[in-house]
Amino acid sequence: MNRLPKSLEQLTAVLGKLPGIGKKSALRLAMYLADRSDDVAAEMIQSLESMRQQLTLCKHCRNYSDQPVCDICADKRRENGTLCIVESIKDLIAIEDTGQFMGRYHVLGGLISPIDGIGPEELNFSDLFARIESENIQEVIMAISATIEGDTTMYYLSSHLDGKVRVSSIARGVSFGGELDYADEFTLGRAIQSRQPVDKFFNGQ
Amino acid sequence: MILKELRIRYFKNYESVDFFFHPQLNLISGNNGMGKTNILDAIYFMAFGKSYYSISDKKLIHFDHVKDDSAFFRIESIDEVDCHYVFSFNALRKKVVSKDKQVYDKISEHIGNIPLVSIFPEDIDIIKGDSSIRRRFIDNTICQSDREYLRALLYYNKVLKRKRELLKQFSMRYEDKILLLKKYDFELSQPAAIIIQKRSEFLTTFNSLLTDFYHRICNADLETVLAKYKVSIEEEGYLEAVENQRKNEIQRGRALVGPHKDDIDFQLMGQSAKYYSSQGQQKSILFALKLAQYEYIRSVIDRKPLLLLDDIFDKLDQNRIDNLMDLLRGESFGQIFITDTDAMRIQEAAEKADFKFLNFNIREGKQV
Repeated sequence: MNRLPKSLEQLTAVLGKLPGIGKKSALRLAMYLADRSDDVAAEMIQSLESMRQQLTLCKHCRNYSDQPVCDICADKRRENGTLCIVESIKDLIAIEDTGQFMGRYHVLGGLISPIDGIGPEELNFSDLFARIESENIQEVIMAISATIEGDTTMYYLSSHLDGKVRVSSIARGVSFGGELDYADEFTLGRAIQSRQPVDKFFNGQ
Repeated sequence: MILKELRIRYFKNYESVDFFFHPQLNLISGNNGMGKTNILDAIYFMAFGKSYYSISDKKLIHFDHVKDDSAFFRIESIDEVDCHYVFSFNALRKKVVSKDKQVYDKISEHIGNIPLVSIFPEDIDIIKGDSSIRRRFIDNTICQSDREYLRALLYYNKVLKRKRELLKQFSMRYEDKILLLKKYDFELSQPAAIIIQKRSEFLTTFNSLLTDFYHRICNADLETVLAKYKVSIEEEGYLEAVENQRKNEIQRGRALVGPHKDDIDFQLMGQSAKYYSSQGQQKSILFALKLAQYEYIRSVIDRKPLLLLDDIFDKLDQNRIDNLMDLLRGESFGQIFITDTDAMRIQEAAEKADFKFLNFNIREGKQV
């Protein structure tokens, strides 16, 4: 078998460590970079360097940031007093893309999951509780997946925040554009339980 | 359901054999170790996508042909409406099942196409073994017809797994643990109630079938047999029961309350059959159980399942053999497969019960 030069082999091995990249894709990417060594590779080296040097997590909300405080937390136009709790930065981006939320975020970095050995202490909830007091938060919106882990985390948080601050959760039920007969009974059952006055739907438009 | 034809390739001790079965009764005879049970296991595999003996698929490949990656086995069946099912396995492409050349995405989608009830000698563990085997027996039977039960069971087990992990975590703060246990127990309470109620309803129906079959096998109307539900929670309900035990659960690090602790006590004349009955009596109870299961499934799905009987005449007196054969001759049963070492014995029993049948004599993985 034709063996690769050591430098290319190393690059392939590193690329292969990335999520979603297998052996063959890694080799394809490595060869692409090798063929265009003048521009793409140089750009990549530079951006990797600056990412390593600058990128940290925001000290307030744990979003990615180049400064100690991220753009959202630093933005004076955002509402004070509402805090949206999300599991991951990926979820933060998803909510930010809706343009429907103008408050600030808090990224948990995980959910309570005994199977993975993650309990309340691993998630540093004390930071969150301290933040709610110091920033005088009035409402906490929990935008957390409707899984057993998400549910457990919401239960834990709400029982600690109960009485101190208004706690709400994003709505659950039939998805927008979804047809009823395609929804499973479990989802539909919960949707009926947490039904809404109809005028709420139309006032938003 | 009738299996017209079964083709076996490189499965266990069979290299390449085609069987053409009789629609009513098929007798499979031969000495020990010749492969009688392997035919039944092949049929079992067609129905459930796994061996009865929980052997890994790779070990099911014929041992002369297992040397390289291209090794495989395949089982095909053709039923009375010429529906062609194929199960194939090889080490590289994994397990695939198809119906009339249409490959299923998941094996589980095929389960139920071939309804089947089997009695293997090891099934005696339903009576003798630990409670998990009995729970599995009734769970499997109820799940055949009740999606709600299946869903409740799956959800219950999913949450229970998390609760068990939580109980094992010793480093967590006590008040955190209590809080999270409350949440998990709340999630468990609804499926727990469904499971308990449906198990109890099922056993009520099942008991009348069980009694009927037991009497017909034993010709003993006076012996009462009963599947008594030993429910882990009394009327107080799951939440109250588990709250009473919460400290205990935390201390011992185990989930002590709930339907996963249920048991079924098979009683003969009011006594636990596990401890107070002879081997022959236990065997009769097992037959009655399995035939009651057959009848239950048949009435629910409105099709006659296949019935596999592996080496069942061992340790039974002639009287019970005759009773059993008469019973199987009845209207409610469909196609039957019986293995035995003694070809004469089963043929005589079959003729006596006025069965039409085919006899398959097996020697070293071949039909002779």
